[in-house]
Amino acid sequence: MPEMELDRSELLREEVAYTRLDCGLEVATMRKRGFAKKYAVLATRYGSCDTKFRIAGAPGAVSTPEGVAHFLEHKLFEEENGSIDDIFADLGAYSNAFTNYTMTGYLFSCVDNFWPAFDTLLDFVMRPHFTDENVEREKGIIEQEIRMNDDSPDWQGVNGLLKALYHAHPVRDEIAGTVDSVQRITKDMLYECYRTFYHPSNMTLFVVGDVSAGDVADRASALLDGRDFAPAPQVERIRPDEPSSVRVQRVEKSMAVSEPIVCFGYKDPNASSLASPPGQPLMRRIIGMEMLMHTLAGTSSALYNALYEEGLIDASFDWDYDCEHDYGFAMFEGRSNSPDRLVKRVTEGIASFLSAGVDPDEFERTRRRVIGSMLRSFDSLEFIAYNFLTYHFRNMRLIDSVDVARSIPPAEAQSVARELFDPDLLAVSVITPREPEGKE
Amino acid sequence: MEEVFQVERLPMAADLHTLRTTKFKTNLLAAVLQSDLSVDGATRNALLGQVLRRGTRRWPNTADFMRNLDDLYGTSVTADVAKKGERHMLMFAVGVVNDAYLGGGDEMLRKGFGILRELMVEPAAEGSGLRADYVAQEKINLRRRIESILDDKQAYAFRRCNEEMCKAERYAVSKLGRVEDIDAITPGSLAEWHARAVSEYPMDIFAIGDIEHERAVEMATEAFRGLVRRPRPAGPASTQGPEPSSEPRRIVERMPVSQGHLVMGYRTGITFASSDYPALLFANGVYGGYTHSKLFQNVRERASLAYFASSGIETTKGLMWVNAGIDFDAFDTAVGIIEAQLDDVRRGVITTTEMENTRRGLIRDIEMMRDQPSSLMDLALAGIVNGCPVTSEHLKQCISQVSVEDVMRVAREIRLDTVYFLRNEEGARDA
Repeated sequence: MPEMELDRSELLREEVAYTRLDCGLEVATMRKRGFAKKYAVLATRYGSCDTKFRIAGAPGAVSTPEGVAHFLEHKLFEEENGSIDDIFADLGAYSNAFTNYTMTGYLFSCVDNFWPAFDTLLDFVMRPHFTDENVEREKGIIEQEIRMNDDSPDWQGVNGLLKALYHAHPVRDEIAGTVDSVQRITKDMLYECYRTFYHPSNMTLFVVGDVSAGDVADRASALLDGRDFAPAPQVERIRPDEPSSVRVQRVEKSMAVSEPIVCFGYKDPNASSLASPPGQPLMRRIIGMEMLMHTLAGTSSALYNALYEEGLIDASFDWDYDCEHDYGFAMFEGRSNSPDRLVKRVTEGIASFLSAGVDPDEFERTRRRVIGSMLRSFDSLEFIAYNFLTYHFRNMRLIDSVDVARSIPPAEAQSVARELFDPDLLAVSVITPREPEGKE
Repeated sequence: MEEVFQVERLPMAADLHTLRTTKFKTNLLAAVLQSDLSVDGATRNALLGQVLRRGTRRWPNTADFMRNLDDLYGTSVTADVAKKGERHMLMFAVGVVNDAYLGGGDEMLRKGFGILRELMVEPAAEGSGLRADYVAQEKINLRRRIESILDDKQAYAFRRCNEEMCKAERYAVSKLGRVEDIDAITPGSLAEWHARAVSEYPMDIFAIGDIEHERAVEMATEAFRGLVRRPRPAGPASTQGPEPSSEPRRIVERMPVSQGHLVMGYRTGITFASSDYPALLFANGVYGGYTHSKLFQNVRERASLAYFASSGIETTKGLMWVNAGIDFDAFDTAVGIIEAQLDDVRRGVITTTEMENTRRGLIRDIEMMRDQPSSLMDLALAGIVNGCPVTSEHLKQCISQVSVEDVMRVAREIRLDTVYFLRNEEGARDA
């Protein structure tokens, strides 16, 4: 049996067992006793941002159209005689996949037949079958997915913000690409990206449910360690130079919405100084900012309640902070009938909040709240699986969240916020209503 | 885990439903008030939910109320409305951290029941009305919330299809009511409405989590002590709609959109209370409930017309919908393929694989409810509303016995009523 490393949280009463197989695949399991559902995700460190790369020994760099990672995710489900979904359906398992900026994940959930479904997952992700014909056929489906996102004002609001904040970094591009970029995708590109990014050493398998960690590791090892994988390619991911400034301060788009939707945020000037993968310092930064932003603008804050009572925001108002080793941003979003007034009020609120300093009592109250919501989120296997991998690929441990939340002093969160909330690094994206012409 | 609720009638004429499990880190406490779905009732209930979650007699200021919840480890609080068939429900829920994770005892649980009572029966008042500033603000917010359904094109297309299909029935009323009925509501009239709702609506309380039944009875009784209720039974949960005409209604609406949204509304004539309900679940599964089902396979995988194409059912009113996001020019082709698939189900053109995979999918979905307190509560509520309590174990039993003939029989009862299409402003005017 492969050797296991354990990570445990006393407060959460959860444990994750890790191991690395001979083929390079990392395997992690969190046992959830008493749960009916079992959930497995096989994910690779390859997302929509990885559009340019160089492989050691190859002549030049490779550039691909936007949307290849997502396209590849769709096509990996295809088998010589049908879709792999059929095999999962035969087993009574639900299968799906997702692509984001930095990762692609393939998953199934089931109650019975866990092991055959597990074998299927490990088998199909490691065995691509792309043809000119099946690649062409997928373009119509993906075009509809892109058009669905085009009609989603929330999505367009966030994407507009990223396009305003970033000059060149590929996080500004849509994950699924554009109707045009998808047309340029070929079978050969999919194979090249597959060979580059789907080596087991670039991937992690995570299982959550009432399953033994030892059994998961043994079975994965039996399935994969005998296989003849090519040596792991040495991949350099090439990112364009990104100026530290924001590209434009304001973007607007008109859509069929009932009232304006505003999404505004700050480009994190320090993201690029983080190591790759960033590890513990980033985890403190993310959790510290979550606590700070709740204290500043959460539902119990003076600022939130003043804006709500004035009718500048409604219950749709929300905020978020996310950061990777080479991009990061804090944002606020919601419906508002006066977007510019809302931006002004929030930025003024931030300035006075920072100059007054974080109230230690309020910060302690937030700490209790954040710890409570972390406990709550560990009741959801979906939450655990997605966030475990997001954290893991950044070399952070999700299970340590509560301990980190307990240890962050207000001064630490405040100093991150002072760097982050730089008025020069603010951009605003507004979706404005376009009146429909009328009904027939 | 045995996912069967224990039920007990409490002194304030409410039923308490408890389900004990120790696997969750949070406990769910909820109270549901049921009423008949009506135009002005829906608007008032929706507004009431929004106003009640602003504060309570003890915590009249919203920020103070929220700070108190933060102090209690981010106890979550919701007060909102939902629709099941032609019943309208005011639902209050409180999620508290399981005391076992905070050093034991039952302080959080006890406080959770207290918050549930405050939220539902002890609002922030002013004179003889609810707090006027909250009522005024929430009237505006409710209007915005109703209007914002436009932002989600899929939800909007759904609602428009229902409004057209059920024009002459109460079911057409949206769960949030109507913008034009908001203005007339005053802090005084809303307080009267609230008092009547709390006293007269049938009430069910749920406690799911690390709670023994006897303790829950004791805590709920204690929390609601002094509440006097005179519940009046609600009317029928659903009424039979008119027979669809042989030529389905066809509605086309135009808007500046990139994708066409097709929603087809059907009448099944089968509700949760019907012995054919498991067969209807099955027919929906074969038709469009899963990725292995006919709609996904034919509309998406074979014809590449859509990213999503699926069917779903409303269990209390007996409706079914198909929805798909398609190219504007693909309307006729898509409708043709979709109808042909249902015809295949009616004629029994169903493979053994389609049958068995649907059976496995349905049983898996039912078993997975055990991991989700809100799903367990929803199944129990479907039983309460339809007057026929059903355990998930029983439902699984029924699913295991459904035959192809059963699926064909119920599929033949399913009638297309309304075809709704949301499309762009350009293009052929006669589409």
